[in-house]
Amino acid sequence: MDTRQYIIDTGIILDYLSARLPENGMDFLDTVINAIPNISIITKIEIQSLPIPEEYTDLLNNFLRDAIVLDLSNNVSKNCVLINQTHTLDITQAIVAATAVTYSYTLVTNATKPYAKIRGLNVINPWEIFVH
Amino acid sequence: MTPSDHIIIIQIHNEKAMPLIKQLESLELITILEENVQPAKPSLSAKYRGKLPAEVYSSIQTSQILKQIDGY
Repeated sequence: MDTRQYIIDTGIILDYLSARLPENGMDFLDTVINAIPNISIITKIEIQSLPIPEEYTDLLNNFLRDAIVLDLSNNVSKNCVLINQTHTLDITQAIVAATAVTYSYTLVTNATKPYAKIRGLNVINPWEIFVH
Repeated sequence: MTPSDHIIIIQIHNEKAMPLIKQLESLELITILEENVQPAKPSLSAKYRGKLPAEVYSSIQTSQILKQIDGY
């Protein structure tokens, strides 16, 4: 049984909601979403800040309600400082990365490059899932 | 079953608890003996997969906040 847990970033959530990902990526996300999605508080803020037409705000708010939103805890803050000291990430990226490291969750993102060398952080890009 | 085992019946008030319970089982800390709760709601993938129309997605592409978000 795969007991890995994932944390999804904003871009991938939007890609999934609009079914833009390749089929393999969508199927992978189905599994992640059905297991209750984990997201950072940063992702929640980003999604709520988007200019979404009123008829779709319920969709996004329901998604946020169904997700587990991981707050900026002391441990996340400490890991964020460590990441900031050794990497040049935006603060929002650093918080998302620190949240993933703190909970030992694999980060699901299309922006893998900024996270590539962060110690203890596993990343997966659903745009690049290939089945052989 | 060993003498130190306890059997309790719990009620899940929030589906968010299920992954945690499943993880406890995978760690062999507990055993789920019976699951009698039928899923009353559609799966989250059925609820969300592809529910945001392409035109809405396109319209938010130009927003300033999206330009600051990972992956864009």
